[in-house]
This record gives sequence, structure tokens and C-alpha cells, in this order.
Amino acid sequence: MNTYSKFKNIHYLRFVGRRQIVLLFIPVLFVFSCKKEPVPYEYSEGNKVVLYTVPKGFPYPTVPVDNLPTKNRIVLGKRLFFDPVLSRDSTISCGSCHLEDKYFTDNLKVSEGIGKQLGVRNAPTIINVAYHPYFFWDGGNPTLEQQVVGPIENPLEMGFNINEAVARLKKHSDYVKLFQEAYGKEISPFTLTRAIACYERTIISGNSRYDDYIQKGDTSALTTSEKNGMNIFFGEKGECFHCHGGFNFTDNSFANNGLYTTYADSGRARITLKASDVGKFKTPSLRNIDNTAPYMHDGSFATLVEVVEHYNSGGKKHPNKSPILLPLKLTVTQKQDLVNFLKSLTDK
Amino acid sequence: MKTLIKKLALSSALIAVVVTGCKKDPKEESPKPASQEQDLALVFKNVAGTSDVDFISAYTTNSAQKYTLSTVRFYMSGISLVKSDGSEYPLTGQYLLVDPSVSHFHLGKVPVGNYKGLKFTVGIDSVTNHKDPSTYATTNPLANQTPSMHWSWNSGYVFMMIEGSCDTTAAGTDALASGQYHHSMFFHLGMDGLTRKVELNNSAFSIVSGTDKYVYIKTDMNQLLNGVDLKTENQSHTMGTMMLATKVANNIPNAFSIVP
Repeated sequence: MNTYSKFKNIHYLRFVGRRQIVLLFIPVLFVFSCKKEPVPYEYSEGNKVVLYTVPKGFPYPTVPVDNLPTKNRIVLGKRLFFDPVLSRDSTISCGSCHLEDKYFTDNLKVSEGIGKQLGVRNAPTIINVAYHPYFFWDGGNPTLEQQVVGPIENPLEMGFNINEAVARLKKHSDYVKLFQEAYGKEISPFTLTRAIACYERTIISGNSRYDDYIQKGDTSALTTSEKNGMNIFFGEKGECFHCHGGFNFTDNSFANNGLYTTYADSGRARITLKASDVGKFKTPSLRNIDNTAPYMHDGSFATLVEVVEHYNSGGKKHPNKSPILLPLKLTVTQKQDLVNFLKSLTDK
Repeated sequence: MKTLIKKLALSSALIAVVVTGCKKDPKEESPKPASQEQDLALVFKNVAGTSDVDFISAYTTNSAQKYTLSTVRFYMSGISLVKSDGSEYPLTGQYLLVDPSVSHFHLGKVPVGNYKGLKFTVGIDSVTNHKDPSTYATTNPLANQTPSMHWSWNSGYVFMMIEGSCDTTAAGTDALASGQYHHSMFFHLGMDGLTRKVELNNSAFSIVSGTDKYVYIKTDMNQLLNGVDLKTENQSHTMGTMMLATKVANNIPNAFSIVP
């Protein structure tokens, strides 16, 4: 019989009741102190678990139990997100390619990493990233926390190593303090990736005129053209909703949308090694789409008009092309209506 | 006041009980008699044919192509000792990151007896391969490494990393400059499906009571590069060059041997 069960069986029975309860907690603290873990971090307002603010019509996102949001974690994560110290030459931060004033994109075809190197895929927005079931255009990464390592270690992006980033952060006494306050742990790949992910999950938006129309029943929120576009989008004319449906305008699947007859970037097949996945990429959300140009995994379309033209054409021939993509035969007005509807998905 | 003293006395008693509880009770430990088990360590070294790899010199492949090495690192898992009767003693949960800077691995106590060899896997099983490296203690070989042994873009480990340079000239006339040929060579093998099982039974050994056992294992780089035409086949991140990665991986079972 170990000491703890002795305590429970004997002392508990003898002392429980009345005002003696306080005594029971004293030994409990000592039991925890046997472990060599650092002293648990102090309770404070900043360490109170908070809820992410979720727009009407959105489900609450799935949050990993080892990274529940607190004010301290979110503030720390935000600071790290915009700190170029995480790149090898301290020039590029996460926020260099996910700019807050550009709806967390950089509006470039492909982004520029350290040493002015160009990447190979378009930087997607991180708005509503809390709802993504996997990350990167090919879905190769399974959690937001693990995703954080990707850009830091990609030689074309931040070109660093997560352990080296941790070692560098440890030289900054304010970061040492902030990590301890937020996680009760020292700076490590674990706490670094968790802090950034914790902040990224706060970037949720669903406050467009379309939401006013749907959630608040404000029929004047959309123009007639936008409503016509919405009917094309959700109807059999456009069939757009099959892939871009739901509160975040994505089904989170992978599709080949007939962009090319031969793909320079194999997309999902890079992960699965299946020929049937060549040219398939993750369906992006369409929220704020008017502000996140250029479009597609390689940023090959500069405008929404070009995107609508592409889908109207039915796309190029490819064995993996989604069978749902057929020529839409939209009129000039209908194409404009569709573009107008897409523009109504911008947050106010 | 009296009650306060009583309370304090009681809580100190409780504390005393709890604090002593931190120490392990010697009676609870029941180690097997010392004669039954002995410590085992694996010691690794890289060779290129008959030469030891020192990461400075140049080597020639089985097909007389010249190369140098700067990095040879690989993950080893699923280690099992094979007894002389053919039964196995698995060393469950051991993951080794074999690296020129860490060549000795102490694997703990194993039963004494006669062994005909050992089995292991180069690479990491498909479940462990997709776990988050940041959740391991930093001293764990599965934690994030410097340089990285993990691909964050597909959440999987690099099972084997070979880096260096090679001579790609038609006549094989490239000369070393600062210890390197002019073309960089790298093979980063990973992805589920590229793990390779290795069975070493070229040299039987005994583990006897009272003497820690060191089993020396050599990795022959020429065997790993066997059949690889370094003139054209010299760079693989596995992705996009799966054929070449598979070719090198298929050489793994024949590249290891026990040093008698």
C-alpha cells in the first residue's frame, strides 16, 4: 500500500467533516510536489481559460486539450506570429506573408522567404484556420500546432530550425517570462508551436453582408445582383456549394478543378503518392475571397472574374478532374452576379 | 489556539507521511537475480567497403564512382534479439537516432544467453511516424532535431538521411574542393512504406553474466548506394523521386552487419 492510499483510507475517514477540510488540501499539495515538474504556474486572470468568439451560425472549433486558450497564451502567440526572430536571418515572420491588413494573405502569387527566395504555392489566408482539419494545400499536416513548424523549417520560407528558434527565444528574458506565465513551462518546440496556434485560432470571422442576410434575416443586406449570384452559387446552375458549402464555404476535401492538363505541382499526390490524387488541392474557404487574390494553389488567377470564367469553361481535361465540373454556360450578367455574390462574403 | 496547534500538528504529521512517500520503498523493488540479466549496448560505425567513414575522406562506390559524406543519420526501431533457439527478445519501445555524434546506445538489461543475432527496422512505424514531435521530451530521439529529422509538411520523420557530394563528370575526373565534389548529393528517405526490416545473423554472440555486452554494428555506405548511378541518381527527398528513394531503401537490409 502506498502512502497516498494510506492517507485516503485512514486520515480521510478520521478528519473529514466540519471545518477540518482545509487540512486535507495541505498534504495534497505535497503529493504533487514529489514530481520533478516545475511548480505549477500561478492562477491569474491571464491564465483563465477563455472561449474563442464564434460568429452566429458557426460551431465552436475543436481545440486540443493541451492548448486551451488563455489571454496570456493568445497575447504571447500574437507576438510570436509577428516576430521575425523565428526566421534564420530574423527578416521574416509568420505575419510577413499573412498580413493582418490583407486579410492574412500577402496578395502575391507566391511569397518571398528569407534571402528573397520565392516559394512554390500561394499563401492562403489563416482566417478561420481553427476549423481546418488539416493544413497546407495538400493537407499533409494534421494539426495547427504541427503546422507551425512547416514555415519555420521550410528553407524557402523562414529557413530555420525549431530547436534553434527555441534557443534564440531563450536569450530574450521577456519571452522566457511570457512562456512561463502562459504555459508554466519553459520555451520548447511544444510551447512555441502551441502559443502560435492558440493565437491563430482567434482569427475567426463570419461577419459579412451575406451573414447579415442569412443569420439576421436582413433581406436588404444583399443587392438583387448578389442574390441572383447566390442562387447560381447554391443552385443547379452553378453547383458551387458542393465543394464550397457550409458555414466556412468549404467541404475541406481535395479536388482537381481542371486548372491544367499537366500539373507541375502534384498536390495531394505528394502526400498520398496516388496517381488518382495528382492535381488535387484543398478546397479553400471563400470568405473574404475578394480580398485574398490571387487565386488557386499557385496564384495563377489574378481576379475573381478569371476564376468564374475558369469554372464557366468547365476546366481543362484531366483524368482526376472533379466530375462535377462541367461548362456552366452562364450569361455575361450571370457571371457578374456570381462575382458580386462572392464579394458579399467580405467581412465588414 | 489549542485547536490551531492541534491542526498544525496534524498537518505536519500528514506532510511527514507524504514526504516519505516520495522515496521508493526498497521492499517494493524485486530485481531478478543479477546472474539472469546483463546490460547491452549497440555501437555503430559507418564504413565504405573496407574503409571507415571519417566524414573527411572521399570514397568510391561498388561501381567506382566517387563520393564524400557529411551526414549519415537514421532511425532504428523494433529492435529484437534473436536467441539461438530462434525465439526473440523484443526491446519494446526503443527508438534510436543513430548519428555519427552518438554511436553508443545503452539499451538496458537483457537476458544472458546465446544469441544468433538481432532484428530491427530502419524507420518508424506508421502510428509513431505521425505523432507530434514537439510532445516528446527534448532528449527523446523522436523530439524535434537539429538539423531536422522530421518533415512538417507531411508530418513524418526522415527515416534515413545521407548527405555529401559526388562526382558527376562523365570521365570521373572531378577533383575535391574544400573536401567536397562539385555536385551535392542527398538522400532523405521517409514516408510510411519505406521502412525496411533488417536481420543480422552473420555473427552469433553470447551475453554472459558480469560483463556488459557491446554489439558492434557497421553500416556499409557502398552497400546502401549499390546500383545507384551517382552521375544521375544523387538527390532525393523521397517525394518526386520515389523510385530512387525506394532503390536506396531496398539496399538497407544488406547494408548492415555485426562486426565479429
